[in-house]
Amino acid sequence: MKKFLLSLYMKNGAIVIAIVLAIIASVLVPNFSNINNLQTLLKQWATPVLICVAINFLIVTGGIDLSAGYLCGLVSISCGLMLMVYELPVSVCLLISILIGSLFGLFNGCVICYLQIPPFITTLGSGYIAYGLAQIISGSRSINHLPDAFMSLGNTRVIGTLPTMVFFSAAIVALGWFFMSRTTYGRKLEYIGNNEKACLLGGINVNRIKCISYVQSGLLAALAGIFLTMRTGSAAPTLGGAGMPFEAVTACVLGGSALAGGFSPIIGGAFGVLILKITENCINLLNIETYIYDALLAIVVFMAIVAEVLKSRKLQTK
Amino acid sequence: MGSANSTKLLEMKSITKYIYDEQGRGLVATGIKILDAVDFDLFAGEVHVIMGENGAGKSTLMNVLGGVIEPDEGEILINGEKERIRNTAEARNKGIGFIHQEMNLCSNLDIAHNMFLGREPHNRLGLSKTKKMNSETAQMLSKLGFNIDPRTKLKNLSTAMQQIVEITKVMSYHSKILIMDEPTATLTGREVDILFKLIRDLRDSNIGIIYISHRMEEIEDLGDRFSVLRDGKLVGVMSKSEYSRAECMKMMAGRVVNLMYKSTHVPTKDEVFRVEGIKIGENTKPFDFQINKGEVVSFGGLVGAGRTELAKSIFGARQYYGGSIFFEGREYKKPSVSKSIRLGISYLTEDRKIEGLVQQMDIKSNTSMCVLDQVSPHLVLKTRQEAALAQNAINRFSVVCLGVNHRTGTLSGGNQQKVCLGKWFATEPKLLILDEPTRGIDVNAKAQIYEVIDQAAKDGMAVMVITSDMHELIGISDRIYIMHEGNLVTEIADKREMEQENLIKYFLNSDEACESEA
Repeated sequence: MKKFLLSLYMKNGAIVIAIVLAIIASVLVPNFSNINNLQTLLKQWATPVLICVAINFLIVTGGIDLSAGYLCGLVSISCGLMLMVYELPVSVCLLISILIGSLFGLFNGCVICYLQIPPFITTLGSGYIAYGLAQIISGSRSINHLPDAFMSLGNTRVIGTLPTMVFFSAAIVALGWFFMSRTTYGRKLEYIGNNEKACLLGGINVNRIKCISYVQSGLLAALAGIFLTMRTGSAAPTLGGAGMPFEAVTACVLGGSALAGGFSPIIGGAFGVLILKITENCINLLNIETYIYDALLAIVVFMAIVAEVLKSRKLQTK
Repeated sequence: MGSANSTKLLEMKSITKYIYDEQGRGLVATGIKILDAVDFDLFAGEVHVIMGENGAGKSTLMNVLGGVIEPDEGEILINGEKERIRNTAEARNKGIGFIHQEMNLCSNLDIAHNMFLGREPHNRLGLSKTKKMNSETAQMLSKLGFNIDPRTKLKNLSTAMQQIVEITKVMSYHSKILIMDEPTATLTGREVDILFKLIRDLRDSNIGIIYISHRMEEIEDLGDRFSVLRDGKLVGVMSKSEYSRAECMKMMAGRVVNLMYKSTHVPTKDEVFRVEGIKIGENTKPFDFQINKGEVVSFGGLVGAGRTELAKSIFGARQYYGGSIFFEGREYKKPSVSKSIRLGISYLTEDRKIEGLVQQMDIKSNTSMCVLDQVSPHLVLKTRQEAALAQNAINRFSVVCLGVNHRTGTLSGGNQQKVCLGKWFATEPKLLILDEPTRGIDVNAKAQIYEVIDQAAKDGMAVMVITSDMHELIGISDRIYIMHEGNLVTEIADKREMEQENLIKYFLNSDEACESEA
């Protein structure tokens, strides 16, 4: 029994923490267990979890995408411009937005895989490109009063005040889990993350697979940008930002991902996001300084990195 | 050098070391000894060469002396006094300098900073005294006969000069005993000369030098005494006057026991694979060879003969410098790994842990690695088929494990190798290339792998084996090719000629044979 609980925790630590945290919060924090608050919580969860799924697919091979947040902003403002200035139909607008994201991911992937430039540097740089582009095409202004046809896609209430986008996000988490653990694509990523040399000598097209994971990241970032626009009701170049991928990495770490690659559970990551959002929510409800949240994120990532280094040092002494 | 009247610097008495865990603690209970009561001594002012095949225990012995691991039995005397060397720092303080195969230098720092790495002289503010470092470094270098600017960055130095910096650094700890483990592995001819001059100078200044190398010419050039290790035991010690190459090779290889090798396959004359005029290096000579259906062809030679490079070239994992490859009668242009696998060429890597297995994953994931898209053609994993594939490999090669979900990292070396074999047999190869298939695995697993090779040939595969094990070479081969420094030296097709004496002759004559061919 003890062993079973332990393995349950190891495999699903994030789920356990999320539940425990929610119970503690509902006892100690006034208004936390209020149904409206819980629904808000899920709405706040819906966007970052997309980035988290994307980052999961990168972390598994030891990669990262720091441009994802800025890409959200670029997609958001492009969406706004297409809807309001060029007056394109919503479907075309969504299609082009997702295309922008994917192409941007393809660019990242090609630079990283075929020019062999470290993902950290590549995506840091390309993120600023996205940010600059977003500022230029928008003239640093945001666009409000987006058409109903667009807004209702994500905001139509399904159960209570829970809008469609929460269910879309949940579906994408499920899809992500399926791709990661039940397809050859996920399996190959896992091979690469654990032993890239063996993959090269085993006929696995390492570069192509990695490149696909960056395209996927761009695509999901675009989707996150669209969701964010729908939620806030305004298309702005500043949506997303640098904090977003950082939050996603933190969530992945909480979910049990190894930062050095090889293992990255999607469901764990999704609950990692939930843990972060519960924490943020409590900080808001208790009227504590909100910047504490950012510091908390940093502490979690920092501890994870230290743990990782200690672990690999232990392996090295073998 | 007359060593008889010099002082005895070092004496190692019946050193025994069992296989050990990650902390270096010997696993005495296993009874498997890597070093078995080895005696070794060293006089001041001599070069004592240690020889032996891979896995003979040379490095382990030196690791014991260098404080990397502690011996389980036996004692070490330095200058006649019994000493215990618990770690590398203690070894250094007792005057033992260890020059490793890979240099421990920082290429972005200059010579002086490398020399004083971790012990930079500094003033009260903690700022390092660069001038002092530079002048002392220059002094140390000039003492050894080198005038280089101590501010030169390491990366701007040749490999030999980097090695000299490393030696200077070790000597700056007042080392009396210098251990050199294959120092010339990455050096060119002229660089070797520079290094050798330094070694001789050090010897003449009464330093005792322990020298490990596979290159016979070097050893003969430098050595004053020669100790030969085999399977963890000391086979013999020879002085310069007693030394002969043939005797030494014989000692290294030992007697051939044929019990392990049963040959039931019958080689055919149907060509599967042929190479014409392949050049594996820029300056190597082109050569041809072929492998037929149902035939086991081995490539012998010393370490660094270019056999792994040859295998990787034809497998498509490495660039080569010209030549054509024919597979099943058709020219195989621009080889790549994935193309090779599709055609039916498999390559079992030399290092299974780094290049073969995914140790963190289970047997099932490993055996299906190269055929993933065939087993699951429509993206979705077919776990049942994968499990069947793995179970098949487990049964076929009798892998000792808990089942298809057993993590490969926790298997023994022999069983890991069998999983690797399972991975490649899953691709149903027509040409099977095995690079040192029995390195580092126990005797039983070895015998099983020989059986697998024999059976593969019987089933009609063409098998190419690279091996540095003389017994294996003679025992399993239908034909033998011998390589030397990237060139093909000879082919031995007659079973009667596959005798140890004869092979040793080819190993020894490799240089001349090459020249006469050209």
